[in-house]
Amino acid sequence: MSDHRDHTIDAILSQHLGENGETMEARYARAFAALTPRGAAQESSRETQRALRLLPARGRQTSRLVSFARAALIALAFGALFLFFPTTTNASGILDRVLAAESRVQSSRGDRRYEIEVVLPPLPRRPDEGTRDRRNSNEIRAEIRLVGTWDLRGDESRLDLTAEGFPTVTRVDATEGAWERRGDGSVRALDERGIWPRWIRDPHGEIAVERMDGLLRLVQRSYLVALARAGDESPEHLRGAIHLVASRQGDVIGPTEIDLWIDTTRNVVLEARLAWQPPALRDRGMREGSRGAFREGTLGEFREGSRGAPPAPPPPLPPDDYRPSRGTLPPFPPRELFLRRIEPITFPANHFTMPSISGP
Amino acid sequence: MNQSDPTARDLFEVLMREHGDALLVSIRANLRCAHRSSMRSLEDDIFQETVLVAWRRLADYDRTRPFGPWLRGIARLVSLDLVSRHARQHAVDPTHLASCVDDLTAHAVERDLATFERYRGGDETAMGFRERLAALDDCISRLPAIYAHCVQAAYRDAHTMRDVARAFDEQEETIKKRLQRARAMLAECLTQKGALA
Repeated sequence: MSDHRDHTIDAILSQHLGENGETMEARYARAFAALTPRGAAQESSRETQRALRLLPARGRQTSRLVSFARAALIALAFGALFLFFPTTTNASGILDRVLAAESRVQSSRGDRRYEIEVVLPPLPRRPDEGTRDRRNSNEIRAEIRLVGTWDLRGDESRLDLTAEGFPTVTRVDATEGAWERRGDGSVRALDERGIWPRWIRDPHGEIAVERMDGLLRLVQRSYLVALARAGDESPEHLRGAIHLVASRQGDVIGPTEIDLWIDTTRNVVLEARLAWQPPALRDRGMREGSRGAFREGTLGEFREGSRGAPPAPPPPLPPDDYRPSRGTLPPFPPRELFLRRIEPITFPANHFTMPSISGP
Repeated sequence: MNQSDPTARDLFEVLMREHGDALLVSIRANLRCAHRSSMRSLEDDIFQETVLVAWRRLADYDRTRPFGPWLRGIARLVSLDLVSRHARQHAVDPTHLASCVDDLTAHAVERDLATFERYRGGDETAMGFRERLAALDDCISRLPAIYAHCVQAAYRDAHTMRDVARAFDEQEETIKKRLQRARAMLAECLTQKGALA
């Protein structure tokens, strides 16, 4: 059988057995949503010029004056559209613009706040648990949900996180240094290298979930991005925004998939969803090294109370290991992480400043 | 037919639904180099962009000619554009990617699809792409069980080659060969039915 025939049959099989009415309908819905006047206006200037070149052919019967007036009007209309809408629909173009806008806000030290939600997988069972309490041996452990806010101003960031029934823990990476306020109200300085978990890294340097521009650069460099007008697959309040779906590729430690909902009028990320698939790597990390970290980290505090471990610089870690240094968030990546933009927001001047040190 | 015609949008959507399956088949068959995971995103991008370009160029469409080949022609140009952009963005050797959308394959695939679209299966009433695929179902049911199971696992259940190999307790290469043979048998069966040239 020839190669091309093999490809044809492969494609027909994928279509016949892999797609169904629903998946095709979702494709059509996304594609047709982009045909709205706004979607059409977001086309590249090159395509628009092509479209304009086609117009005279249809207008030959009308007088030259009318044609000229019509062409001028259309050119004006397109010109106006270019002023108000982005000029390309490709994902990388949109990412570029959002990244530029995000970098501008960052350098001008503008305030940004995101509501954050971290969904952690259930804690691993201890080896002796089943024997200690047989009634619970078949208990299905629930996932852990941390909610809070993520505040950004220039290079500074502040994370306030809590789980249901537990006090809020604050982590701040400020110009004067990193610090933490634990659930019992005590404040301590942290080594800034160990303040954030190693959930996201790429070969060009470490990127934690602490800078939106860093996250966008990571997506640009190490993810394959597809674009669509947000439709039924998105939360209702985000429909009509641009929905980017980024799939991880290459040697990067990070979410398997990142969804970004973008307001292309203002070039801001309205919402982000970072999803990790549980790889074997994570299981290994949990088995080998995470138990100590549970007790010492933020999650450890939620689960077992503060141990007041003194800050210590994180030891160098192998590149493919999620194990943390002391005092970090859970070592293994969450199942999902959501960021939802809250605006407008203005923080007090001392929002990132460390209060006087107290506590054990 | 052009976009200013109020019925054009409805008509366009009907035509797209009629030819969307064949469009995706054509996109997939022509994109033969990319890794499966990146291919899916590329397919989506190409599909979306093709619909958009087709809508904008609707005035160019000659109604006396079939819509499917015109649409797939656009998809081919969009593929070339997006694949080269993909190569630039991801630092992939452009010659490698260019080889995955070569003209020879494109023409052969188009010839197959055109034949498939003419196929009536003995029924003279109008048939959609999905109805024509009943012929494929019949061919799959005639495959030896070992091949049919592989096909179902790889295509219907969307398992990776590695997962299928693990499920059948075979080497990945064995499964690849088995699927290749299954596709050859299906191609022969469809040719005998007149669904492929």
